[in-house]
Order: sequence, then C-alpha cells, then structure tokens
Amino acid sequence: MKKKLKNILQKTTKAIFKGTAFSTSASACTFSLYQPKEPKCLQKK
Amino acid sequence: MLLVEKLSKNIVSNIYKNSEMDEDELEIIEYGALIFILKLINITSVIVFGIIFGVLLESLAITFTIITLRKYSGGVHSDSPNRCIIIGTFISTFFSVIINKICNYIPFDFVIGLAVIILVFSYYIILKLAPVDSPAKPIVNMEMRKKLKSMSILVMIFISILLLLLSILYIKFTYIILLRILECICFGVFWQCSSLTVPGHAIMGKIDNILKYIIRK
Repeated sequence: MKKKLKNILQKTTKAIFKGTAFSTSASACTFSLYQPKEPKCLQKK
Repeated sequence: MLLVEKLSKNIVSNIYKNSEMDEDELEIIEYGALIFILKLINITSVIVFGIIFGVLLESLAITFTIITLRKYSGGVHSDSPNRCIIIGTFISTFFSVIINKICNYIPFDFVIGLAVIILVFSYYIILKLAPVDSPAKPIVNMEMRKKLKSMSILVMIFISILLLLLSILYIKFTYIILLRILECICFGVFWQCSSLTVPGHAIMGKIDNILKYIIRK
C-alpha cells in the first residue's frame, strides 16, 4: 500500500514539476520576480 | 544555497530517492519543483495578505494581470526568491489598499481616461521591447521571440476587451467593486509594462537593494 502511494506521488509530482519546467521554458520567464537559472538541457529543447 | 532552493531540492531527493532517472531529467524536475514552490508561496502570500487587509479580489486582480502578461513579455527580476516574494506580495496588497481607499473619490471619466493612456503606453512598450529576457533565462531563438511578442499583444487585446466589459458593466450596474477591479487591472498592466523599460529596471533595482539592506540589518 505504502509503495503504491509512493508510486502515485512520484508519478503525479513528476508530471506537475516537468509540466511547470517545460511551460516556463516556453515562456519569457517565471511569473514571479525571481528567475532561477534554466537548465542547459531545457535551453536546447 | 537559498532556502526555497534547499527546500525544493530536499523534496525532490526525498520523493525520487531509489528511482532511476538521468541527470538531465533530474535537473528538469528540480527546476520545475523550485518554480512550482515559488508560485505556490507567492499566490498563498497574496491571498493571506489580501484577506488580512480586506482586498482579496483587488490583489488577485493585480497579481493575475501581472502573471498573465509577464509569462510572455518577461521583465525585471530580483536575484533572491525571498525578496521576490516580499516585493510581489507588497505590490499587490499595498496598491490594492490604495486603490480601495481612493476609488470612491475618483470620477469615472477620469478612470477611463487614465485607462486609455495606460493601454496606449502598454501597447507601445510591448511592441517596442517585449520580450525582455534575463541572464538566467536568455531568449536567443528569434522565432521564439516573435512568438512571445505576438502572445503578449494577444494578452493585451484580451485585457483591453476585459476592461471594456468591466466599464460597460459598471455603467449598467454601478457596483463599485467592478470599478476597483478595473483600476487594479490597469495598475497591473502599467506595473508590468513599466518593468520592461530601463527606468523600470532601475526602480526595481533600487527597491531590491533597499530590501536587501533592511533584511541584512
């Protein structure tokens, strides 16, 4: 049960975090006043 | 390392320990986690301070106007996430309180005149300067720059239609909240477009330095 829940958590957060990263990469910047350094692998894509 | 960065790295390493992924993927997830956490803290603090000062709708109107336009037009950035949260919350809440207080004393015709001036200024700035990138996220691809400029103009058209609708609704129903939201949207557009200009960068840099000095003390 615990393993299953961890799996769901991993999959959900992975989708959310990746989605946020790609969406920010396709924008001019983040909406907040702080822009973290964009990973090089995202700059290529 | 900054506190929010530490937090996001800890969350990512805890969730994904023992899972197989390459370095690039991990880097993307860490980047996404940091931005997601920053967004969450930013919006939560605007909501909390909006409720405390009784200007929730107004501060959300300012925040979402800035967010929507900023996504495509870019703009000035602070070099610390903590100061970014403080400045973002302060701008939304403080100016919402000001608008809330003075709204009843400003004639409607004057508000409309000011809104038109702000819109003309904003279209000009966006056509001339958008998108404004940052050293942390340079936009070198010309096609992407063109796309972001077109999207910024599209957002401006959407905002103009929204402002027109709000004015028509206010004329018809005279609910003061409609006028306040209209003024907040205008302020959000003005703030965001000003942040694209050189004086905007200078002002923002001064605010950032003052805050840096206060936090150090």
